[in-house]
Amino acid sequence: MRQLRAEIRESWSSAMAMPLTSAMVAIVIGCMCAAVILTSGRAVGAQESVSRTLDSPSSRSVVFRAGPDAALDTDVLKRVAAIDGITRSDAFSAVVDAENAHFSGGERVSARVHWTLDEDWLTEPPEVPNHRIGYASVHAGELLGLSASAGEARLVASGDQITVAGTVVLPDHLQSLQPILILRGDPTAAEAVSLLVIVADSPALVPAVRDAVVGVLGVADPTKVTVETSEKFIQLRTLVDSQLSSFSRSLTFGILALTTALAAAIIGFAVSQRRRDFGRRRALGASQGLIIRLLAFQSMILGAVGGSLGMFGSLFALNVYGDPWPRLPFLLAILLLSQVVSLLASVGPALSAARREPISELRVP
Amino acid sequence: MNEVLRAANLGFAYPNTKPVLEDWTADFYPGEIVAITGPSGRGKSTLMYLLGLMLKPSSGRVMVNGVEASTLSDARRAHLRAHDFGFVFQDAALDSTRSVLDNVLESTLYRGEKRNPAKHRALSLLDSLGVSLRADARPGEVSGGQAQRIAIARAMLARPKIILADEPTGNLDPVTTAVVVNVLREQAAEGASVILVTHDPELVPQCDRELPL
Repeated sequence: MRQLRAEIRESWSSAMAMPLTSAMVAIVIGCMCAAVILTSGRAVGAQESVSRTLDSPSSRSVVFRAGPDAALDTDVLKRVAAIDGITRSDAFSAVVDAENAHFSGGERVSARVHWTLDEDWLTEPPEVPNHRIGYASVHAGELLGLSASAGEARLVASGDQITVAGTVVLPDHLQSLQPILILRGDPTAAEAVSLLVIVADSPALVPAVRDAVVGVLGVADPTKVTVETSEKFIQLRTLVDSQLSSFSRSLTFGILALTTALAAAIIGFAVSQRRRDFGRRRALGASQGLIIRLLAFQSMILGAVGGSLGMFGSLFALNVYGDPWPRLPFLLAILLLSQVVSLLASVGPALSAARREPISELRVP
Repeated sequence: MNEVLRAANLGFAYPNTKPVLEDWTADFYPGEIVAITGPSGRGKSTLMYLLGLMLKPSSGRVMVNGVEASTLSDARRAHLRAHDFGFVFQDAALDSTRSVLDNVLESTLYRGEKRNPAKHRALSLLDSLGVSLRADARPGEVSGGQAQRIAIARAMLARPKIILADEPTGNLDPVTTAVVVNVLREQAAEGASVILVTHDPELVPQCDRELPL
């Protein structure tokens, strides 16, 4: 370990002894890191951003719509709960109209009873004896003329009074139900379900989840149930992944190859200027392996310095332009690549330096 | 007394040229100073690089402490050069980017030695050779004679068994030459075998033996 430290210290001293060449190598590798981050990194950032959007619950949802005679009931929630790969499931009754309880003839909004066995996004209702509790979306509250989405509503068909306890903020995948007045239902009671919304754990699981849920719907006539999935999103995600990944890979490979060649040329030039230095080292007892290690360490030190500067510079640029940052593993991979490039660039010059014969470098004619 | 270095039937030719050296044999013993002399172009420097394991002979053998060294791997020969040999080159061959002290201490890296314990001996050697400089002085700031004495200090740092010096007094005035010869003699007295390649007719009488080429 002490010898390794001594060799790294010697490599650092050698790098500092040739400030111009060292700066050029560090700059080339720094530019490589910046170029990769600002091109491929940007593409990866965009890819991840698009993928996050495509992976949202909206694109992972499977919607089952059951007709009045389909006989789908809330027991389906228990059967669905036994299926793996499902994030959550929500069942809704058929739509009924609701209006403000205190004046007739106003705007009407849709009302649905909601059942779930998963964590409910409705707040715990207050205890109001003999009244059903409902929650209005913001728009529904406005349409009903309720102040702060609280007050009294009435179901038009049945005349049932509803105490609107507050506002409900629907999850993204249920936004299409707005404006709505939601009534909390008891999932243990078997009641007719009109709409069943299932969210799969990942976009790739959507087809399997769809098929599995169809198998447990428990309806006599499956043709009475229509199924909607977001398979187009899945196809789009696959396309985005493959196109952007392929673009990033090609670009990164091109930049790496160019940088390796440039850095190797600079290091090779530096080695040719230090032939006597390597001849002297060999004569004084440096083995070929040690000469190779010294040059490799020197190159990797410069790669680390240049790579870090290039990375921080490009992240600053991404910040300035408001572009998404690539994730930490990508950045760590870039730093690792800067080391690999430095090492590769040093191989040829190091082998050349190690083969220098002391007599041809030190002998005075 | 056993020889520390032996050249047996040594021959060497550069590619596509006639041999520089043919069937050359010599033994070198601890405690002696040997001068290898001869006109230019007779292969004196080539012989030094052969004896110093920096060139592989075309024929014959170089034995170090009774072991054939010329056929060893590069790493083994480098190890021997770092531990058992001290070299003084014709033009000092100092690293101009490092301090004088760093130059003297350079070979500690190749021997895997700590630098700090060797610093005291390095400064003491520089002092005994009459080189009184700031420790951070650069080779560019010293005269040719001082540079050669720094190179001699570098060669002596590890108390090598064999010191090979190519024209060590070529750049020195008579007073400094005497200082250098005294230091080399001290090394020989401590058991080193000192081999000088020289043109200097003043130097040859101060050596124990002369091997003309």
